[in-house]
Amino acid sequence: MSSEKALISGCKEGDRKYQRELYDLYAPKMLMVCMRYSKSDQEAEDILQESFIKIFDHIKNFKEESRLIYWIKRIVVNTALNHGRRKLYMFPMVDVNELDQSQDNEVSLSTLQLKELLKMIQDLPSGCQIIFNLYAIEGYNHNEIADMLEISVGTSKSQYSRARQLLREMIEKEELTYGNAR
Amino acid sequence: MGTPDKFDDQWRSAFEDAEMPPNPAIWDKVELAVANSANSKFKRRILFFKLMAAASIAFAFTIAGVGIYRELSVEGENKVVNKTDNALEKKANPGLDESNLNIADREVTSSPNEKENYQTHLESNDISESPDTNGKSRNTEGFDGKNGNINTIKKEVLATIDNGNTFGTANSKSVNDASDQKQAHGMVSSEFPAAAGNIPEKLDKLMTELESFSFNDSEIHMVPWYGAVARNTRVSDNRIWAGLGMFGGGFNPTGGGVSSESSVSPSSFSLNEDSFTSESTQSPLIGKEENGRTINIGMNLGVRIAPKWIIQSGIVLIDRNTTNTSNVAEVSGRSLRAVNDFNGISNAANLSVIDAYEIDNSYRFISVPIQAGYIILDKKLSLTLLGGVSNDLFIRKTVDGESVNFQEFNSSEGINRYNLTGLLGTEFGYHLGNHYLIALTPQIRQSISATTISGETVRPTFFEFGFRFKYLLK
Repeated sequence: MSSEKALISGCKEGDRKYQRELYDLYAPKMLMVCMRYSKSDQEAEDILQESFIKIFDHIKNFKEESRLIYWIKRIVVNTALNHGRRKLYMFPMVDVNELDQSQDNEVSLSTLQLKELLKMIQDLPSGCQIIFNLYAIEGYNHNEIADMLEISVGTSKSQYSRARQLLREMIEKEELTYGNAR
Repeated sequence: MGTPDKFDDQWRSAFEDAEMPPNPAIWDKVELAVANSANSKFKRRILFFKLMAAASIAFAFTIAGVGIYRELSVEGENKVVNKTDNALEKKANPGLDESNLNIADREVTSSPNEKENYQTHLESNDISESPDTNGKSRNTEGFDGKNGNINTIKKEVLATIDNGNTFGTANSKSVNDASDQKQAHGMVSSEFPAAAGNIPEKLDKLMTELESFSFNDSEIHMVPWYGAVARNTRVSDNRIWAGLGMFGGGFNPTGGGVSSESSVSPSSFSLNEDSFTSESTQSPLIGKEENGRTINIGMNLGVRIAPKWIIQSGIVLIDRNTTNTSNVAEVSGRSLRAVNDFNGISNAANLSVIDAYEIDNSYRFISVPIQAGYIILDKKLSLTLLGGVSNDLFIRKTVDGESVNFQEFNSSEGINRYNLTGLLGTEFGYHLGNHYLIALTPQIRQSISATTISGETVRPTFFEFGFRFKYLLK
């Protein structure tokens, strides 16, 4: 396994061997990111493919000021957002009433598997899905999300709030199913 | 960054190191797309040469068009001028013998030698027509006022040429040079006193006609006549030359006339699945040939067959290279042979699907071009428009994979032995002394016959930019 520096250098020269190595190293992690932003496996694979084409195309511009994985993840998220924007254009986000979040603290995800959590995120409406990913998992704030998606801060907040409510309902429903099964 | 609470933290930690193995086919697609992207960068680079070739050919056509237009205009208008001269002289002397008009009918050139000859000839004619035995007057006997009038007009024409004026201004006061004035006007009074002092009545009549004649038209017609004289000062009189040349350029190997699909898979053709020995889950993919580059090296001989026309021929070695990607290889002992097309798959015994690799295809031809050229500009700088055909004889095709594990092999399968291509280009030359010329030659080479004998009709267009060095034999 080559070092990160060697990988970057090899990819910058267009060496297919290093490109393959970089892909093997980061593709599994990035596929999970793509899955969180998409509705199906096929859509996630398309995003992953497009992202890695961009990565190999633009790696010459990578300044090595940050870690490679963050640079790659940013490209993957941006590519996913571009896919998401198309859906948002079809189904624009609207403001919904912000909900009281105090009750969420009692919810635990420990009993749920990753696959189930992923399914819950994918089942969210497109706007909620994107904003929940950006805010809760990637860690962007609402101002940054509003800039990225060209929406108002209020819309970002309300969509996030709606996502939490929907996820809480899904978790409760899942726990209920587990409880009945036991 | 935001300030998520416990709920968000749980989600973040759940997905923090989450992974999912991707489908192997994704890498194949990524690899193919990256290879295509590299090719498109090459295409952008050769776009410069394409644009340069196209622009220079357009420029040459424009120059040629203007040149031909001017030439046709001059020819037509010279006829008008000659007719006007003849008409004037015939009016001056209806009974004048054609032999007496040989000077007037003759095309006057601006060459100093020719003007001198013309002057001498004119004067000797004057003497013969009016012999001067006493040396006082050369026009005592036999002077005919009509001939005198014609001679006067001829001399005025000469004076005009010497002064660089047009015919129309010969009668004006623009003849400033004292010697020329003497030549133009003084001759009438000193050399032809009879004519100066005894103008016949018919001359008055002629002058009246001349005054009524629209000289403005003649003046306009005379302008290109001088232009024509200037253009005839050709720098190069070389008739035969030999040259060495090198061309480089690019082309689209698919010729733009085939499917836009960038790759083929087994479903595209009937493939015997038993041929595959690999248990790989990857599907076989063979990319179309792309990234066409061509280098031609050759020598040529040319001959000028007319003042503005040349023909040239020669012999050229052509090397064309293309690349494509494939993940199918033929296993031959310990080495691999690249499989780059449908024919390769259908004929191979042991096929294996491996990681995608790049294939270098090299085609070699011997070419005999035959071109005709029209010389647009032939001075220190020369410009020639060239067109013709090239007879390309296929020699061999070499196929090699990118890594050392691949065994290079030659093939001639699916390729026409003979290809005919059309050539169109321009040659921008610069004379180095009397015997050498260097030239830049952008040209377009269009396949006329199909390069392959398979079902697909491939007629690529080549954009080439070349350099020629010529030795001018005589």
